[in-house]
Amino acid sequence: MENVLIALVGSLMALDTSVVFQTLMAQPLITSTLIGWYFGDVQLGLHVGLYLQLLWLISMPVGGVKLPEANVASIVTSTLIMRTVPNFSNFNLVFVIGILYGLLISYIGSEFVVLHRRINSIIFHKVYSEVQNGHSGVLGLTVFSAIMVHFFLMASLIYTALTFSEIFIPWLDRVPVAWVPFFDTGMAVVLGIGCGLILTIFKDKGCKRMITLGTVIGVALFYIL
Amino acid sequence: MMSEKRLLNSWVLLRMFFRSFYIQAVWNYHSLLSIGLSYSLLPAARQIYADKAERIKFLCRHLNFFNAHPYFASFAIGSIVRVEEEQQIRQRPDPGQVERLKNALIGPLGAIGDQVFWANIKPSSVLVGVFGVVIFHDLQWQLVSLLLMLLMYNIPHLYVRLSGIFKGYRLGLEVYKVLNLDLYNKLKKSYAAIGAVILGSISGFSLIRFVQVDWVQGVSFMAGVILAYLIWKWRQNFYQAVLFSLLLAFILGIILRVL
Repeated sequence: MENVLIALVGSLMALDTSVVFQTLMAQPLITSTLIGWYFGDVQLGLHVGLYLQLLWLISMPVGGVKLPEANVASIVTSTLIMRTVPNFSNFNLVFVIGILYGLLISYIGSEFVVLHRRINSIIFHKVYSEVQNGHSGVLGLTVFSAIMVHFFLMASLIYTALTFSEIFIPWLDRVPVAWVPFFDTGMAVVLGIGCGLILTIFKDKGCKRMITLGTVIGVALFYIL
Repeated sequence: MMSEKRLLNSWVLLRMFFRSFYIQAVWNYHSLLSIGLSYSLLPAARQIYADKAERIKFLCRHLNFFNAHPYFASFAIGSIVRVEEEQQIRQRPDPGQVERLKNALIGPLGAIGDQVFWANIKPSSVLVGVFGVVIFHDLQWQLVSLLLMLLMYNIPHLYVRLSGIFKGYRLGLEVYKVLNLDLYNKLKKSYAAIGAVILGSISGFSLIRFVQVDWVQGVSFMAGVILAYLIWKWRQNFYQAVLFSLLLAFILGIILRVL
């Protein structure tokens, strides 16, 4: 039942990614925080969200480009981490597995977006002929049904991903103890990758001096705070 | 010369503004945003064309093809209805003129929107939220930074959507005067500067934090930064950049631990 609830709320938020509004409410930082709040640990949700956010921020919805579905991935990854951490000693291992699973889900999600657009393409011809026949009200109906199709596609993806994660999570206990220390660098690597990807956005704009200044400020803030 | 007579009032323009939030809902490979555009134009179509046959022709024309940045599309919506309204008032229908206007707007609306919002305002605003979560320990301040992120993004977002409709409607064919990337340079540069300083701060803060825990973590963090940057520059592929960087940085971490 919990999976159904998360899938419905998550897919409602996923609409904000590109289908309607686009107000940043679908960003991993927001969705992971909400997942954290639902599971009773907002701070952990925020921290998971920040890692996921940096990783997926490079994806820009320019034109009809096929984007990794960051929103759905962040919901699945955050839920997986929130559910597993209380019963599992190694946070870093869960975190890395969660990120890898999130990457897979974001890829499948992007395929679902393509499928939605293909469905819209089929609908387009029908809508055109209906409008030609004088039924202009079909436009509103089409917009509503396209939103609903996207909603149910994403809800089914989140539900399936969460259900599948319940099957493989217990297997994490079987990871040999000797391997566990190797995952300690997981959070550092993921945060580094996020920063490196975003650096490509700002480096192009001749912001080198600003980035250097920011680095000095960041180091100073670490010692001040 | 534009006539002083009007068929549309502010309420109709506001209704188009609210409908513009759904402009991408039926994005498709044949006509891209055209269904969303026609849906947004519908309140104006009802006012401009009392005759149903005329209204249907109007909608069919706009169903053909349209593409733009979703926020900046408001400028097109406003100017299209103004030109259609003018033609109806003067009883000189010229669908070709509207089509040429629309086609001329597609390029600038997409380019300005992508440059201003996707490449600057979005990453910079989100980094403000991330920065708050990284720097503050207090949950209250972390949540305030999320709120600041939403405000930094949505104030210009909603302003562009709303002013686009009204400016487009006021200027009609002369809408190109407000569609110049130079007009948005100050905004773009301000957000880029904020984003760059914050990215540097997050990186500097995190590096020291990881080094203090364990020097291998500090090295792994830097390896992640450098590898992701280089692989993205080389391949421009999200999955390749993330997965290869993850794998290589992990291997480096394992080697350092074993040594």
